Amino acid sequence: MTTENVLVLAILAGAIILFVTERLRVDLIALLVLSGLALTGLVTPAEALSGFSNAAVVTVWAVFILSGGLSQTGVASIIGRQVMRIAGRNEVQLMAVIMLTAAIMSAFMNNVGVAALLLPVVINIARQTRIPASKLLLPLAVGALLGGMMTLIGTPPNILASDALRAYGFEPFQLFDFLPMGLILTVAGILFMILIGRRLLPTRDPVQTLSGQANGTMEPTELYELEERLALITVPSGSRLAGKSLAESRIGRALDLTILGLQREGRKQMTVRPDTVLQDNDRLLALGMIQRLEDLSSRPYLVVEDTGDTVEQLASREVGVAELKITPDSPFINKTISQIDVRQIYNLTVLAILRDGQPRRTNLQDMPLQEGDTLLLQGTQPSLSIFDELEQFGELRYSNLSDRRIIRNYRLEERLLIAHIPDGSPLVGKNLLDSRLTDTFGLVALAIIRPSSTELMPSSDTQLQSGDKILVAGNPEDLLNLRALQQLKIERQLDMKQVELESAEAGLVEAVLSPRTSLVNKNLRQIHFREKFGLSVLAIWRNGRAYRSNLNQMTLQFGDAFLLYGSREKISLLSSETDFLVLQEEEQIVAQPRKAPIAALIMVGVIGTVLLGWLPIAIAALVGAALMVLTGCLSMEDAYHYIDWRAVFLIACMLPLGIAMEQTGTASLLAEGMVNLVGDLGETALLAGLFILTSVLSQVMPNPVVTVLMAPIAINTAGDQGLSPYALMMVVAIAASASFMSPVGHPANVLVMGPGGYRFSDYIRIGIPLTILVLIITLFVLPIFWPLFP
Amino acid sequence: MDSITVDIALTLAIMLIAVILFASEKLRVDIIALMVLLAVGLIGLIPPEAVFAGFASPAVVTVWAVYIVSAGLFKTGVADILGEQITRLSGKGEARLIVVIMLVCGLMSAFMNNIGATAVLLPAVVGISKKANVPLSRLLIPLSFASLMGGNMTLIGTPPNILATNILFARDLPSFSFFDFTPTGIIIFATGIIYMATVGRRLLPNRESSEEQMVAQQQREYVSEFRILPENPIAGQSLLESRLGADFDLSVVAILRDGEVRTALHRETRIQANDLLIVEGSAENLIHARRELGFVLESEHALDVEELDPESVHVVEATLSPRSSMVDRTLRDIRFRDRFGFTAMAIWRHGEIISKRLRDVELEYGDSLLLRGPRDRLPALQEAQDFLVLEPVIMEMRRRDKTLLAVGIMALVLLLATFFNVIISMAMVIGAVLMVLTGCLTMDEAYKSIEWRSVFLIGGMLTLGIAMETTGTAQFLADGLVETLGRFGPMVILAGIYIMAALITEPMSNAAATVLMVPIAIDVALGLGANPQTFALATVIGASTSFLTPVGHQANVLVFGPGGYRFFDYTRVGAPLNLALFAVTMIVLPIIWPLFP
Repeated sequence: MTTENVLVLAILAGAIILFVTERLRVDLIALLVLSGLALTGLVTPAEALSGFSNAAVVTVWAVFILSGGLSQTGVASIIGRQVMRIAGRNEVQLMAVIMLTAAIMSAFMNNVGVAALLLPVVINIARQTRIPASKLLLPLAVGALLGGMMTLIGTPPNILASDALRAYGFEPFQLFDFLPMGLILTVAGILFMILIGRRLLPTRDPVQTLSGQANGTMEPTELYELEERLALITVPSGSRLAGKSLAESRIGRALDLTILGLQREGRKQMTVRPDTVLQDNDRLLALGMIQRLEDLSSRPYLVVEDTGDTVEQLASREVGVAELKITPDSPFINKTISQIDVRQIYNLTVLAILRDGQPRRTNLQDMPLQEGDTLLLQGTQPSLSIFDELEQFGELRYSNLSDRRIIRNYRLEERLLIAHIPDGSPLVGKNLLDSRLTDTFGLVALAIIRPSSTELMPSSDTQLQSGDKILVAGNPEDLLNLRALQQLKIERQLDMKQVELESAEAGLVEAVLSPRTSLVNKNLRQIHFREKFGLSVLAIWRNGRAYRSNLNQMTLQFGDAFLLYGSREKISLLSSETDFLVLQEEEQIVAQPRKAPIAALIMVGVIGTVLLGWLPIAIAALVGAALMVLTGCLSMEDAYHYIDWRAVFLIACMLPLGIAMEQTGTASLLAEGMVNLVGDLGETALLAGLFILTSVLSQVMPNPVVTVLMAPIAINTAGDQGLSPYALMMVVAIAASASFMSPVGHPANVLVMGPGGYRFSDYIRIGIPLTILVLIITLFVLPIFWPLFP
Repeated sequence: MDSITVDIALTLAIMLIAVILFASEKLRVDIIALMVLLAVGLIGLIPPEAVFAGFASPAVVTVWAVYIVSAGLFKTGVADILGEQITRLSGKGEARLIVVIMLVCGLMSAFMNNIGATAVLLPAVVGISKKANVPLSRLLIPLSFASLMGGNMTLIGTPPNILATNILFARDLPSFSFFDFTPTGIIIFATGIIYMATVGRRLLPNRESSEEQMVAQQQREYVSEFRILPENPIAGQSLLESRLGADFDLSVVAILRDGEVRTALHRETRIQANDLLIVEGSAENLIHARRELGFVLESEHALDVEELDPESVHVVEATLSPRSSMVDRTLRDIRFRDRFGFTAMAIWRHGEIISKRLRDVELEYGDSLLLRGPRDRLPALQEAQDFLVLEPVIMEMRRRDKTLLAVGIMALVLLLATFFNVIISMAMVIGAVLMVLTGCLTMDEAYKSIEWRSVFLIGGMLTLGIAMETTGTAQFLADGLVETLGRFGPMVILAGIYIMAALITEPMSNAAATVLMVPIAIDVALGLGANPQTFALATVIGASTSFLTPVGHQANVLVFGPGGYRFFDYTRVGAPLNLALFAVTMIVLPIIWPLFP
């Protein structure tokens, strides 16, 4: 072994470790590999970048554009729907038709794209036929993966295997060279799923169990959970909440409830907006922690003792207010209150901001400050006086809350109040932050008065105790609101039939993150889901489990399924978002339906020219892609959007590692190693070894990467043993694509995970026998089409 | 002069068609470049394995890596901090303001892409204009011109520099290092600033900004649509009885009834339930009437209850961002109001204000929109890739804790490229990887930051560049140039090359012009026995002078709307600048890069 061998092996090992640990994204790992190879000088700079001009890479992105054109014009979904229509209602028949359709489509489009297109169609069939979605979705993913094996352009490993042959001076594979093996494997796969796999598939259907729509198939306990969390809340006559909008009433925020609908004078209104105005005797259908509302109304919460002026005078000795006018050079300019962290750093509270003569009282935290703004600050005198010294921050002017000018300018309604926490209050034992006094009732705690001590400007982790007196600044109005919330009447144990969540205006819908989403690792709050889409998330289905509470803080993962509720209009808005895939057939929007024949013709043309040998595949695919754009089947921006850059960069950056393995002789070293290990046992054992190695690697690494790395090894082995490189490359391509064993093996698998309610083990149970089946067929049938000895 | 071969003729034909397509602007530049690539490949002017070589050229890789590194600097707030310096340094005078803006923008665009620098500074300059009471039209052309000239100062400042370096390198000729562009770049930039602060300033127009124009329009007239519900008091009344004109100073322009538009209205015309009234009047009166009479607003510029609350309502101007997918789409198509909560009140386009049927207007790059909506939804609008909101960005969206890290990475890249001899493409890729690895930006943001239009444009056109060399077309054209201009001496030829590049860059993009002109310039230099670097540099400087029209460079289009400019404003300010830069380049260039080594 030379130093170069060691270096290449080290980079290879490093890459595999990074791929296995999944700490970094695969394309970033590939970029690191590229940088490593270039810096160590294992490849020349030109070779390092050569991946981007590789014909295989160009073909990969051109095929993405072609697929995009077919999706955008609806060709794919038209075919999908037509075929599915004739599928009947029988489970076996359905399974076969779904798998076959997915397979044929994915022979010419990318696999995930096909799975994503057919997912809503299959869900729809599951609803109509009452077959659990879990019986049909994994077959869909498996079908898409198998179908990819049928043509050269079906999946990147095939393109890369063909290109590797060309790079070594052999004839590359033709478009339909993959067809015999691909077809046999697809048929075998379908038979396996129907005969054996069907029995191994779980019976689950997240949406039906979550929403309680299914008749018969639902489990009562699971349904119960949703019922547990539903309640009808009645606004009593004469309530202060009548006349207020839903947002002003703070019902949702204060109590962490989602208001799903409204019953008024016998009429149901299932679309409510934050500005819907409440009336007496409105009945609100609320979902969430009903317990919290019950706590609030059943037990004493907070008792306001004195609202007289004496408190104010008493307190103003300790706590004062002051105005801070932002000067032109103030470091606060362009910063928000939350960035400055006024509460933590300066121990002060911002009551209001005066800008251009207008006071602002709401959403202060996120407002960037400007020159000339005046902040009304509240806090202890020593805290306020800090700005006397920090003159450059602004001009300070002391005042007090009873100052007429202040009250007028800021339209202040805040008063200082003293409240005490009675025994048994739900607030006992909570700290100030958890008490949500500020968030929900707009009360700012200025001091906690205990017999033993008085804590001024208490920090947010101060624990409240029974009998504490709190000096709060707040709007008396808000306190009355609190009382009104306590008077709400709660009805539980609802009759689900009466509730009728589904109506013409509103409904439940399921959505998954689309394969190209950029929302992974963010939470719903960060993406402003509620504000942006106007839909309520009722549950998230992940890894076979439903999550119902604290959904806003959950970090999103690809494969999550969401149960959403909201108006039909908003649902259709969501389905036009690229980050989400709404699993409802009627919501699938076809952008350019009139161009469908053109798109189909272009695709046929591409295949035709390649079949006739007129053009190399890369050029033909690129001509097709350009024609798609020129004929308006999709715009150039759409085309870029359809390209999965992650895949393109992944492949382009890993190709140099293949070059390095070859040039440094590392590939032949590894090939020798493999021959030594299994070579004595005959060619079949060699094939099996190659297949198993590739297959194992493809569980931990993306399929194209495995192909890139295994290609030099396979071709060297072929050279050593006098075997046909075509046969061995075919084995590598098939094994690399046969990633059925885990959800993470292929994005198509992850896509169906949420909607199917699958667990990790479901993939293993189906995947291992299926992979073994593919291995056996490959070992015994492949040599018939691709003789081992040339 | 060599005789013309078939291959040369074919290459020339492709070049000609490409130039015509670029000039006609019917197709996007990137699709033209793809077609050029395919034409070269299908005709077989170059070997098949070289057809896609453009995509792996160090130039293309450098271009996308620069986009990622730039994005890292933007996302961590480095650009905002520089933008804040404008406010800090600018005094009261207009000339000083112009100088400061140009200095900051130029410096920024030396290390980031030009359009990015312009876009990030645009909101800051809008703010300054209001504060200093200087019309926007006097600040924005300096801004965009500075970004173009600032790009001349370093290798990565602008794609033409990257391309020229790469083309020289590929031909095994002495090439440029990172700061080789700096001496000429600084002189050009200084010339530009001095010109703008003295002569150019007097040529800059005094226009109302598009926002002012649109707001003024709003006060004058405002068209709205009211749906008359059966319970409405004026249902059944005549126009006269409704007192819409008398009490509310509104005029009913048309009535939509049963899908029919009635415009022949008179005072006796009866208003019926379910009519749609098209009403014109000031915004105030419309709101007033709506409150009093309980109309239901139907139009895109419907005003919601919450919008009447001055605390939450916000009026803001936005333009389409450089890579907006909104181009050729309507607000209705993307359900703008549903999605962002903002309603469009007016659209400014080429000096005209559109205020009617906004939902159905197909948007164009360069449009300005006056929007109104709830303040708390502004962040979502600012985050949206399709629009550039002309208001300082709320800094929370920046990763301020990574600012120093991002600057450090940029410095490391420069260090690698200048002192450790790492070729610039690899240095930039390493910088990009580090930006993502350290969390300055995510991989998704990295892909989004890459302007694929430029990448594909350059990748495609480079194929033509290769064809020009392999078929001898570049040589052929160079010979022709030397033959016609040769007797006037090398300086005249240098001037000729510069002028050709400057002319060809106006209809084409800078990068495309560079790809076509640099091979010719190199062959000319070699033919004369002169220094190819001098000629290449003259070409890229010429190709970077897109000052004559708003469409010459995307940075120019970006400020077109907000500045309220007209087409020829650019020509008036840009033409003298072009001449000044030409003169300065011709004097300085041969001193710094001698013609004959």
